[in-house]
Amino acid sequence: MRNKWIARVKGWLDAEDSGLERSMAASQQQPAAMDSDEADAALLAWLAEERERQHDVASRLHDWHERKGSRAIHMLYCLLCVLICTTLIVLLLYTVSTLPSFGSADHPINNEVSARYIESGLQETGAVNIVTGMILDYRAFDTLGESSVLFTAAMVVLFLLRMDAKSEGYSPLARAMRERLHSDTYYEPHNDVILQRTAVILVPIVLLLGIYVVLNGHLSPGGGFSGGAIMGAALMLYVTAFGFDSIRRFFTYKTYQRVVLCALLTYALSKCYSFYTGANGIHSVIPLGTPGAILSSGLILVLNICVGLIVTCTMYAFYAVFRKGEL
Amino acid sequence: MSIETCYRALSALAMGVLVTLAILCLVRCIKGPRVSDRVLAVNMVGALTIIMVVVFAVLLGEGYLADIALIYAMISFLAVVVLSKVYMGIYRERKHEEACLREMEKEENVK
Amino acid sequence: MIAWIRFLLTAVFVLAGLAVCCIGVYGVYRFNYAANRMHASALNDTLGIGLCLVGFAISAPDAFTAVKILLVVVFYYLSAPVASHLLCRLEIETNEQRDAYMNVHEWTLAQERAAAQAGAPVQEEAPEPAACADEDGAQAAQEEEPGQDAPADETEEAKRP
Repeated sequence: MRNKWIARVKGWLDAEDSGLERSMAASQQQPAAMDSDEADAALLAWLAEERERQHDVASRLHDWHERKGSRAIHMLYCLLCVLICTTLIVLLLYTVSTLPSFGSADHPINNEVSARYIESGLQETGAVNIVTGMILDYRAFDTLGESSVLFTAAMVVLFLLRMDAKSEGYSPLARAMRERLHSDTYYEPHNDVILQRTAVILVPIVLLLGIYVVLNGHLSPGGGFSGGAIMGAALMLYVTAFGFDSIRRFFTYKTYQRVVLCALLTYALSKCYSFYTGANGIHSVIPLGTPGAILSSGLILVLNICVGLIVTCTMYAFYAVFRKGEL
Repeated sequence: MSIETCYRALSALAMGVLVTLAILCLVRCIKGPRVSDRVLAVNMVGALTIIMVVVFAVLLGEGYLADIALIYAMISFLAVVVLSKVYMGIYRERKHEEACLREMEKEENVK
Repeated sequence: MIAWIRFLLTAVFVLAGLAVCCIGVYGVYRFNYAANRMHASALNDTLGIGLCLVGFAISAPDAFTAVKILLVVVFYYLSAPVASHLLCRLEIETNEQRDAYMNVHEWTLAQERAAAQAGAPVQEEAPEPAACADEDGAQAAQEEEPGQDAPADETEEAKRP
């Protein structure tokens, strides 16, 4: 009795007698019955029929469009569009006009939270730029979530859109053919000398500006996200001037993986220390430094660098995946 | 007639003129019969935006707005470069496909 | 006193810069082809930004900001010519009615003729998509069209697979 049940379960698991297999076997038998000439003739006849059918549909649609009937529908559609858009605009403008006026004292957002940030932001975080102090010290957990979201989004895009990993091992001819099919840049002009000579000067300047913006996040407006975007733009300029083969010498999928993973882990681990000390009331040993110096405000510099690296790699990865199909 | 009011008047005049010019460039961008006209108008709007940001930097006395002007100069340059390359690539791809189609039609006629 | 001199210098430079920008935009409207409009746009890119930003650098709040504003001018002077070079290349390559109003340089015409002759024998392949890849020879030859970079194009053709 038990053996019978085990045999049935095994049979079900191995899908021995499934309807799918029967129908597949049945459908595969039919073309083998015809020989090649009959198959060609049948295919051509079917193609001719398809073309006739599409021509018929197209001509009927064309006739209907010529007749007055479609004009009335077109006018009705335009009228409805204008009506709906006007209604929405009026509703939204009315809603905006009932909001409290800009900068009024009894605005709901002027509560004790923003007062605390403004009054004791400099002493508690050490950052002259209160906004950076807020996003990387008071609300660093949110920023950790944002960096994780960026990481997840980039990973998902790479999973879905990247060509398979085996392409590393293909021959040069196969790679060239795949590139022709998937890469946007196949037909574009390469090796423009003027752009290359100028990029030799400009890419370091843009990269330097990006690094300046990242490192000065706690002193002037900037920080990891905007500085990372600028560094990503520097990499895009490099790729546009010199081509993807040239950037694969130092930035491959492995580089992207390792840099982003290390940056995110550093962010999480270093912020865990602050969460631990903050939650348990222990005084943290990281010094706040003098406000206005570059080595101040505790962990904010490290966090800015991590966020900057993540954003750089993500921006370049998205650009490469959407243009070339692989990193 | 203090210096402050003079600076504010100059900034207001500059912003007014620049915004008008930017709107006119936008109209050119919409009208321009070819792609090159549109990318050209976008480039001009970028240049005008840089001047606008520097007007604010001097009017408000904030130094970081000059950083923003520098960043925007870089981004707009990159945008024009990438757009030009993309459109050239699209044009060549279309030409290539038309050539292939003509080949196929020739083959069909021969058959 | 110094403040007034500063303000006067700033005003002179900025008003001159704005006048040049106005002339630039007027030119973009009056000229009729994209290649001509680029001349007016370049006016905006160089003299317009140069004069305006030098004027504002004179009355910047502190010296560091003035240096940053002048750095904007330097960077823009480095990058705007490259942008207009690529834009002009786009216009020359993709405009099919350009011979109606443009005299293309003789060197470019010779290159195009050579490319057409080199492209013709390659195009007699079978018309499947896999074989259309063999028209790479024609593609590489066509890339020599813009009449600027002679030595680079030969190395470019050698580099293509």
